[in-house]
Amino acid sequence: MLVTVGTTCFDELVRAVDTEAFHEKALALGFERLVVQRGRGSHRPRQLGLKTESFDLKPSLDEELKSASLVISHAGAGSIIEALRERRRLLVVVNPLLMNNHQLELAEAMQKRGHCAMAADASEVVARLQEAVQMDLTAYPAANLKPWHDLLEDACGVVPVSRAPG
Amino acid sequence: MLAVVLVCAWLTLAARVLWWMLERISWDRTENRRRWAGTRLPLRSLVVLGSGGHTMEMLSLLKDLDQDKYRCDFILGDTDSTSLKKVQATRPDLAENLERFHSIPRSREVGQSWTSTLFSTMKALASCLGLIWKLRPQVLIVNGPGTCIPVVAAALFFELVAFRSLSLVFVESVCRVKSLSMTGKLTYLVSDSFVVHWPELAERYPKAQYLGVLL
Repeated sequence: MLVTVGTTCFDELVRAVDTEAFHEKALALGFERLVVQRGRGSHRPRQLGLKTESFDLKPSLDEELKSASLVISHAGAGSIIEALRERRRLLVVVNPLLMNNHQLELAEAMQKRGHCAMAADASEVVARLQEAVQMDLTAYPAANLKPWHDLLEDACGVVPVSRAPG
Repeated sequence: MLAVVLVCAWLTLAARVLWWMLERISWDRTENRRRWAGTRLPLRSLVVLGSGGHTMEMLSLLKDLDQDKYRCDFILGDTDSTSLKKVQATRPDLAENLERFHSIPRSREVGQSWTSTLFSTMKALASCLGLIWKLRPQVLIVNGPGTCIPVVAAALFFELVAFRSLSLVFVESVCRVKSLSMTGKLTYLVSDSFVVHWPELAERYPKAQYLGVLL
């Protein structure tokens, strides 16, 4: 299992996975390892059952993402999309302390479409864990940049355009 | 006599501004204006990289972008140390030529007071005016970081006074599902194309276009 807070400081989330209740639940669901990417926060998780390791930042989380069967992530767009691209099971945890919280919008939209589970704040993580592991997932569609390139050409008018705009 | 000259000058100016506004401002999707049809390619394109998430999104959008059609220059905020590294890590082909990367002063750092923001915004705008004059961009692609506001303002200024046409393409951030960002609202009326990542937004704003999953 991978927990990531990106480049932000989100100690509430790191603390939430550093509890006996969380480790118990995770062990019961069959997890063995816990990797925590702490970001700018200061709290360091302890060994409470799961084999736990943590670090602050890495240039790329590719390896950790590929080996994780569940990702618990802060609600930053970068982290969410990276995890969904890797087709990981994902629990998005919103940080309600962030100013005018529009992180919530993205997390809700992704959850509504069945791409991931969501916790409205760090205290809900334990309660949402089972749902995140067992929910029916709708795969996140692959990016298709063709319409974007067409739009650019249309906006600039570099080539004759036959299709109607839109 | 002087009065007549002054009145004529004012009328010319007013006519130019009015003409520009009629061409530039739109509430709806506009017909393709074919600005660059027949122009020699590549088009001089200018891309504003913000910070963090904005840079990540912009780099995804630049994937597979035909450099023979759009030759990109990049603008960075001068306190942004990570964006260039990110480009170098993910798109070494774009980062080959460091002369294509230009930094401008940030108009506002987090927590800066409003009076000093006024001065730093002026400084940012002045530096953008110089840069845009030099680069003469034909296409401007922005995706919403605060840094793009003075860049857009400078580019539109030269379109108004120096008759330099511009294709302005705005892409809203993927985290905007139901409402536009501040930069999105400011750019909405003056953009040529306005792209959003969620159908909810396209329904609400007639000019916004949802193009499916781009990221």
